[in-house]
Amino acid sequence: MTPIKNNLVALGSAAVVAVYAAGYARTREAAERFSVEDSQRRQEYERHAQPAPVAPVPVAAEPTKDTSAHAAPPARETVTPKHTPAKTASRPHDAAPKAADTATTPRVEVASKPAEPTPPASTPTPVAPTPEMTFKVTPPASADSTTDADKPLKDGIYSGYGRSRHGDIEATVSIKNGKIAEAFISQCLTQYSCSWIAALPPQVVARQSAEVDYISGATQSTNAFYYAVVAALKKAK
Amino acid sequence: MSDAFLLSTASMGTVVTIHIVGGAASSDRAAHHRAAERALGWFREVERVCSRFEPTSEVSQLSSRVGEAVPASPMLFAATHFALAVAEETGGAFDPTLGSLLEAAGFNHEHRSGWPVRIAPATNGAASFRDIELDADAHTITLVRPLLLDLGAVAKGLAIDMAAKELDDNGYENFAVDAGGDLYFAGKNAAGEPWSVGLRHPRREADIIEEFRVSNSAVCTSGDYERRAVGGGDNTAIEHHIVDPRTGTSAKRCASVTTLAPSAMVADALGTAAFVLGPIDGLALLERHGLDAVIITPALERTATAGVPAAGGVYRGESPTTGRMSAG
Repeated sequence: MTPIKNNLVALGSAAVVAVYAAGYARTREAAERFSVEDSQRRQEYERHAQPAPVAPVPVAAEPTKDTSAHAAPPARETVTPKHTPAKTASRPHDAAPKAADTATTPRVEVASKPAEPTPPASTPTPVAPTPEMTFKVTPPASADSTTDADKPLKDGIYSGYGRSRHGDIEATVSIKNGKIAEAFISQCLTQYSCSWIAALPPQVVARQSAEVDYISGATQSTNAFYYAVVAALKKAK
Repeated sequence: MSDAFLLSTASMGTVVTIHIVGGAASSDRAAHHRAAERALGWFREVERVCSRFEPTSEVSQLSSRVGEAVPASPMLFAATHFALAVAEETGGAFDPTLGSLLEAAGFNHEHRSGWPVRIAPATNGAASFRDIELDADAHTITLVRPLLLDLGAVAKGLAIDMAAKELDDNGYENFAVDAGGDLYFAGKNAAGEPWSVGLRHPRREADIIEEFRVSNSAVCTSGDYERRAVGGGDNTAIEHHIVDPRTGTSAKRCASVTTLAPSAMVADALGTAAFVLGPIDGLALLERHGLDAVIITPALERTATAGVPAAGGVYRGESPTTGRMSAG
């Protein structure tokens, strides 16, 4: 068995390096296009309060990294010393909680796009699933306790769409006293039945406060529904 | 999770999230934002090249040209090369030419509109991975007969790997990339501990069947509960998206396969192959390649490689995927 051990692993690693080296510049362009054209689908997703809305970062204005470094032969990758920022970013902050951090409520916020200071008049009609995915999430009423004192959700009933490659799901949330009292699937436009994800509504937003960091094996439709909830919550802001 | 930067987008039919540990300082945040944008940019790029759901993607374009040596981008070539290598290694239990079969089963709807799309001429359904020829010197791909190339089991993993490499290359050591439950974890979470990951229970949506901690590894799960086809398409033998290419029907011997590997692409592709092969042969395949995995059968029996930690234990990759050149 040993002769082929790691053959595919090595091939996979080599592929990653080759694609990265070849595609770096183009990907940066893609990221820029992405930033400009798809701003509506983008969201900044923060679970924790920040001092102020993030200054929008125009990717295009980013100081250009030395592209040649990325096009270098793969062999040098192994010895490239790490930059330090991640190290500095990873630990010390725990020690110095900012004032804003005291609002520990999971929260999702969006940095508005510099290119679109005001919402265009051509907001999609209610019928068309809006691509805007900017949103803000607070824990459901069932999840514990902490309240988002700064920006309570407005009471009411809101709907939003989430997408999967099988179609869209519309979720509706009911906000009472600034908290999510209820969430349900209001329209199932997927090519398959939504019945098998009927168990999701109580769970999805709770996932924000799941004890594990992440769950492996989440489904497509889980995400479509999750996204729909998130879109609905955005309207409650 | 006291100090985190997260950026999400919709891509590849799912929600992709980049999670960078640290970032309370606004100067860090700006840098994190740029790095995360770049990382997400890879998903767009991979989709642009490899998605069979995008009629204008490179792979869709390729599928319309038969018998012709078509020059391929480095990404398409590498992804196809890898997919064919896995197909060869697994004797066809993994096969990237399943496109026509999946299309017949109804997995052919443009994911935004839900409208059916046809992106290639009708095929006779008999194509296999052996009908694809690669020329490594000319960097061309030739489809010997009409077929739909489906890089789905490779592309998302590749995008995760590229995103992880982008972050690694920008000096980040502690981050997570989540693409709809296919994950890569680097370093530690905001609590300074290895990332905790739950494996979804294959039959009870809201439950976690197993949990452990992971550092510097991809964690990818293939489950029969994903994309369950209820009444879609003509082929009733296909109930979920993991098809045994050798029989043309949904693979039934596993309920879920969770694979740990230094690369998400490797984990995803070999995990998919293991799903088709079943618990015994599948686990043997993964062990042969030095990977670890947990397999849950439809009867909820669990088998796993020796390297999978007990509940709450820690799984540590040998080194960051992304900096690793070769395992050999």
